[in-house]
Amino acid sequence: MALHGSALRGLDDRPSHPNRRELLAGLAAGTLTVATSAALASAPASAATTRPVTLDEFMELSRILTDNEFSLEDEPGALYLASLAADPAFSAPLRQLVQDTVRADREPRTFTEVIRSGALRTDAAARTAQQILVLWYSGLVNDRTADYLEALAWESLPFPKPPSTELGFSKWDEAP
Amino acid sequence: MSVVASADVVIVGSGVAGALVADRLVRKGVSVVILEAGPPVDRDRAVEIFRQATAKVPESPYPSTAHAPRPSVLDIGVPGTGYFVQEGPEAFGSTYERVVGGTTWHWLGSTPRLLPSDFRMKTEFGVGRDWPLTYNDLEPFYVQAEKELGVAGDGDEDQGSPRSAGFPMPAVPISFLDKVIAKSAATIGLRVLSTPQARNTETFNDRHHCVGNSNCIPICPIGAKYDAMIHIDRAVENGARLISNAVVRQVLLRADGTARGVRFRRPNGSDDEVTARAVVLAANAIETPKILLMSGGPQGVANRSGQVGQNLMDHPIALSYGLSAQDEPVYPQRGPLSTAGIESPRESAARGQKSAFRVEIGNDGWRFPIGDPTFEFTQGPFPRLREGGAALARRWEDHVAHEIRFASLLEQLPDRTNTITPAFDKVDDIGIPRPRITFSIDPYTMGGFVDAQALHERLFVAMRARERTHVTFTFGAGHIMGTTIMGTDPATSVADGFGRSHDVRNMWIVGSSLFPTCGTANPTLTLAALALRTEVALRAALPGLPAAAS
Repeated sequence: MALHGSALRGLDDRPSHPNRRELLAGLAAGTLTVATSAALASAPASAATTRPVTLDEFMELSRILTDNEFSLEDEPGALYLASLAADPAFSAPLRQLVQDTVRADREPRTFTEVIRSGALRTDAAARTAQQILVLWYSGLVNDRTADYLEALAWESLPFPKPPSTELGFSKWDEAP
Repeated sequence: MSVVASADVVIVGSGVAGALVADRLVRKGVSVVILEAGPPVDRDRAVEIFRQATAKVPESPYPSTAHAPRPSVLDIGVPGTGYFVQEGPEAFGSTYERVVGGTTWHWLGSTPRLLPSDFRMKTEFGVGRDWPLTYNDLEPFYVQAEKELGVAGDGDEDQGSPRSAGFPMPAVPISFLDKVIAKSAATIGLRVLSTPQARNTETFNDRHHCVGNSNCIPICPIGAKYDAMIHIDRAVENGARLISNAVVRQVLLRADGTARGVRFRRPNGSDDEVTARAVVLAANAIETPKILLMSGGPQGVANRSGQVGQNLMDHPIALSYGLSAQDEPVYPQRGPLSTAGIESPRESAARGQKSAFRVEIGNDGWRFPIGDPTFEFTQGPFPRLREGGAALARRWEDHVAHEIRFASLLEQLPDRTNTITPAFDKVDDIGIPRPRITFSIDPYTMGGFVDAQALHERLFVAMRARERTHVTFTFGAGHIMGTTIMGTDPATSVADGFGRSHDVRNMWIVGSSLFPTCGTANPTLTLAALALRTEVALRAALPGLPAAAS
């Protein structure tokens, strides 16, 4: 049996996207930033919240939002960060969220602490946090796969393995 | 244009039907050329392409080349897109691969046999057609096909299809999920049976046993599930010549009406020919009739009946999904994508008025039809606003652990208005017409659709299932049938009971395009058995056929 669904339309649009290794290398060398506005480029240090979010900061924020339960990789993280920074709906809220968490004097360590800190009180901040989690769980960014085998949708499930990887014969026939 | 090869038999298509015929013929000393429209597939590379695909649909690991484009489920229902020219009134929802090995690369692997009554629909139920052969005629070839494909099954379970031999391998263990459903199904008088499947449970034919990669569709990474490469590779080792990227566009006839070979087009647009004493069309139920209708005059070739390209059938799917009771997780996403089903509705008492069906129990949770959890996270409902951390992970885990999916395969009757014809006004990149399809699902099938969803609901209630959803439209099963149906009367059928063209005496057709009716069994084992039966008849006829032109 092979299957179809009309609800699948439109998923095969694949816009061009920077090579992920080039992106990582650029971030590491400081030659590529995630700031997107001309104003930011002309006054990069005018205020803390206009400072570009670094990959380290984004990874730290991601770990906090996932309660440090998973080993998150820099490579897809760089793609997620670039995507958020390039999106007007998320770029400014992301900088603010980093400012209120990773750069805060008392850094929250868990998602619950982030909530308690008030960092997600605005819908813009909450939606940005939600989008960060969507990216890590789905492993998809800008209509391409950044990470499949370690996408959290699979990584967070203790009983299966990502399809195409070995579970073992015949471990499906009993409860895990 | 030149004749690039000459052989006893030229086979068009390298899927399971063509591969089986090729393998058998060359082992008997018959020279064979196999022409495949698409390219070869490298399994490891295809697995990597699958992992990178944004939508893990059946076609995701495989190429759609400019010279051999193929349909994709992503195009279904999107007007003006894709390989098919869909004329409606409903979109035809099934797809296939155009690569060496054909669609067995992405098939599920389920191999139930047809029921004896499936061969006698007109006689027993007053609908459809009778087959020109009986279950008993085909039974010995079912046994052979099960050995060739490597079928694992439980011989002690009565699937309704009498057996003269056991299964080649012990059954694939049914899933924990199957067992939970079986317990509830028993309370309403339904039995869950393990599904026979072409999937190794032990080393068989030099192939590894299944290790639960849970990825039968779209690709088994280790080849534990049967695919036609087993027989293509063996046929080539034994002397068959395989020409890939060779898109057959015409059957060539002599003045006496016999076939002298086929003409194919290469990716660069040039044409060449292969001549043979016999032609075997094995290009599936879309491309085979398309080739016939592109050949000869306006009526095509082998089309005295006018029914080439007509009677297109599928097993439209009734889909339901829900969550098991909170205190009864089922832990899907483990092992083969389906290991059991409910078979009793295949013998529905209402057959004749409405479609019978078989219930396939999915081990893939709610991943149908896209194959991974993308939608849950990109289209909701995960995560909620201001939800994250361990709580999100636990809610997701709890959801998946309870996911159930039923897919019932409905029986569609042959209907001459369901057609595939060459779209001479809409050609592909090398100038070959794309398939134009008209398709509708009749009240007979939709009657079964209602019954199937009612049964799904009874199962859900028996299980105390939550969040129950019954999808209101059908899905394609990938079971493309009809279009060159066989029968005893040349006025109403295209081929005889051995797949031999009524009109072109040295041409045979293999594959599910021959099916006069489609029953409710996944078609691959039946088409394989028919192909093995055809091979015997073809080989017996070869000495009396004209020599291949040089």
